Amino acid sequence: MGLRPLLLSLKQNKFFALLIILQVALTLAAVSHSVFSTTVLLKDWNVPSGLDDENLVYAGAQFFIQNPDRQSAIINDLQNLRSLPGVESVTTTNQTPFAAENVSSVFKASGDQAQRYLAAVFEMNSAALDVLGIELVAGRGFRDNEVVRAELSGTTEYPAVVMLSEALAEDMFGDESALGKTFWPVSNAQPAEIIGVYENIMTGERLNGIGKSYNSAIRPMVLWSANRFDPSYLIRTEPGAAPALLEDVRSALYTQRGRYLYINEVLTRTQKRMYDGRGSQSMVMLTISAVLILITGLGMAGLVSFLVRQRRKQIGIRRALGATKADILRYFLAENSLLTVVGLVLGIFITIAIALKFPALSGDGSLRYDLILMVAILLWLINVFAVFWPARRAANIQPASVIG
Amino acid sequence: MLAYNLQLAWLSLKEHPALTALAVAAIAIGLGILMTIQAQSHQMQSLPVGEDSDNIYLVQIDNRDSNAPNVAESFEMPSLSYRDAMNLMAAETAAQQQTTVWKTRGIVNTFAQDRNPVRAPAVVTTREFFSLFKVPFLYGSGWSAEADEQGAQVAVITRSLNNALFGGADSVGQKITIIESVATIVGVLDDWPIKSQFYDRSFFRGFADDLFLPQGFALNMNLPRYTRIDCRPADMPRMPAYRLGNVQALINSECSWINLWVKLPSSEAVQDYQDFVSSYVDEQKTLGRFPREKNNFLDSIVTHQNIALSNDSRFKLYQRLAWFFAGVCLLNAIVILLAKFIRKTKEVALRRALGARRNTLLMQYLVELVVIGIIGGLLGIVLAYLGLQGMLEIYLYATDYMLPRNTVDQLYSLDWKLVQTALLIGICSTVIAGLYPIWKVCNIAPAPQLKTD
Repeated sequence: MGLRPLLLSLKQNKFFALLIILQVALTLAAVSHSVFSTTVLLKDWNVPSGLDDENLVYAGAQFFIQNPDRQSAIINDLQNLRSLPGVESVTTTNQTPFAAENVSSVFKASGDQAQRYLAAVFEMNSAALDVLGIELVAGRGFRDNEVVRAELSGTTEYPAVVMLSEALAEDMFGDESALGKTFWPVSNAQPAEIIGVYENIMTGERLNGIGKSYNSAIRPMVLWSANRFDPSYLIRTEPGAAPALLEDVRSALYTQRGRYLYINEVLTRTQKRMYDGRGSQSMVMLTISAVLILITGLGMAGLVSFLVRQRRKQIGIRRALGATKADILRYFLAENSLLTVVGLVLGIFITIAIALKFPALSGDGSLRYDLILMVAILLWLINVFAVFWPARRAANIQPASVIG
Repeated sequence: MLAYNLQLAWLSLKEHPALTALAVAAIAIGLGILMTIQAQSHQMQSLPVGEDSDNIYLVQIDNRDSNAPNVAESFEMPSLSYRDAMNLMAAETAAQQQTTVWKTRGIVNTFAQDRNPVRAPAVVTTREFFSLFKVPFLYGSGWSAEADEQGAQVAVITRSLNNALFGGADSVGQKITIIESVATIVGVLDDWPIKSQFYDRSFFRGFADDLFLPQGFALNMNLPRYTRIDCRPADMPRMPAYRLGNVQALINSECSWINLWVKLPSSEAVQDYQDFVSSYVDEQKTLGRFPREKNNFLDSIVTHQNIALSNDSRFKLYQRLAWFFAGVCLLNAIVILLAKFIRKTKEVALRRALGARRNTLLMQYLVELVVIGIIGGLLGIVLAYLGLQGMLEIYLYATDYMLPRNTVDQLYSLDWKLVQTALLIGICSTVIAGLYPIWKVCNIAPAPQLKTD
């Protein structure tokens, strides 16, 4: 079947044709952009955490009185927490996985020109690996005498050793072994020797934007000072014991007067907070997009069934003159596909134009041609599907019924 | 005539129920999506201090170092240093009312046994805060002018903190501990329906401030400064100490951290105040301060709020997509209405042939469109309501229910103005969508249509 009769028929219904083309084009642009922003939002979403978060409790208390004895408070806290039934091991920490907010620049050379690597740097004690429940990939863990416990001051001796996550080690040293290499946690400050490389753990959202969720380092230190948040605690519990332990942890930390508990939760919750915001936002966008596609599809179906009714007579005559059912079906599908394809091409241009004009609309650098193509194919399929039923009805028109 | 047209419209709607339903659905869904987003935008733009929002201004002076980048919008400009805020406050000016604001966090407890202390986000300010921003009181009132001068150990707490500490009873005169100091409660606020915290420039939504303290008292207690502090690069290393260490260091620094709000009721007052700040800057420049070229800002709450809103890129994205989606739905409605009215070609031709005037027919179909618009509009309002409820639930879920529902639900609510707007948009867009179809069908020459049958 040639294009000519199709085009002639479309000429009769110019306005319809134009509307359908426009609608397909705008639907493509709108859906593509919500898909773009969804992919930006869901970058590194729900990546495996590498942690047994159900059995980890994160708790922290902050002194509000002047000049408390922080050192003995930390010793007491560790003792009290370890002695709770259901607790397996405890470490102090400066921040927690899933909510590691502080992104540090770390270096493998000194000097101002040294290349920066971004990582979350944790400060824990020698129980770090036990608490996190992760294995070493190479090297060894911290010995207790390597842990620096001190009030932060200008003369603080920083720890001589450090452990890196597999991802950070690979980022910094590639295929070479990181063990024994020197590592600067802070530019030009006291460096440390890398003694171990551990399995990746999810650090938090802050690194996600640059796709480095697994880059972390652990330094063996417990520091305190009046100008710093007091160290918090990461507690490994026996399997399933964590929720019931929260109340005990709270009482244990409140035995020390003059401070308040600012966090006390199972890490599952921290993780949920990290992922669910983006997850639900994306779901909203995708749901609205689906509704939009549905509306476009239904509109198309309604329109074609109207066209079929309008052309009942012509169809009957064509059938009487020897056109097969398949011919009629093909005619409607071809007519619709022609309009859809023109609409899709227009839509692709609109999408690209918008993405270039307003880069902020769906996130920088989010223009993805493969995604536009996928949305376009999806829209085309939906349209074919929407047209199929009314077109089949057209094919079933009995010639005798219209030629009276 | 109208009743007759309405009757005809109703009959016509019933005639093609599937097409009618599609047209109504397209309009309702488009409107629903649009209103869900517009309602939030409308609520975010609501004025926190009523009409006075336009008369209350934030005073900003450029006190950054000479290498700092140029700034065109007040949003990027720091607030005031302690010294400047106090100098400006002390001067005789055109300001009808004025107050300073910065934020801290109090650890609050009562003298009851076995109570653990609670953390309360706190506002450090002066007595005029409450009258300037029209803050409603449940019990008691703000503190006195002497309390401001002497840094008296008094506090105003919110209804929710009062509920937590005193079970909702009138606690005026009761004592609480704030960190290691004792304070007397002088007032308990009633619910203060602001949509975001405008007074510290953060426009933060969520955890409401629970505690209000006189500045002298807060400085004596050396409360931490959990507020926006802008320092020159050379001062940056001292930032932790400026936040948590002895406040005297911050007071003596050139860092900006105090928000000064002034009420200037007329444009003359605004001009006067601008001149005053300008001459203040000149005078201080002779003392060797303010290394940069003079760049003062005097923007109202409304301006600050609009800038904050336009900087919300996530929301802007939602807004753009919503318009887009609504546009697609409207196009869809046009297509369906066209199909619907073209079906009437024969009927129109017959009636025209029998002498019906074109305007009569146009009128009749216009009424039909309005009916479709009203139904679509009403359904759209229902959808917008459901959409807003859904967005609220999702927001609460996504923030893991850390925020109390009543601090955020106002953002997700409809009011009469919105309902009216929605209905109007529904009707107008339907009429616009249907105008071409009915015009086309009414202009068809009757003869050929009748001949073919």
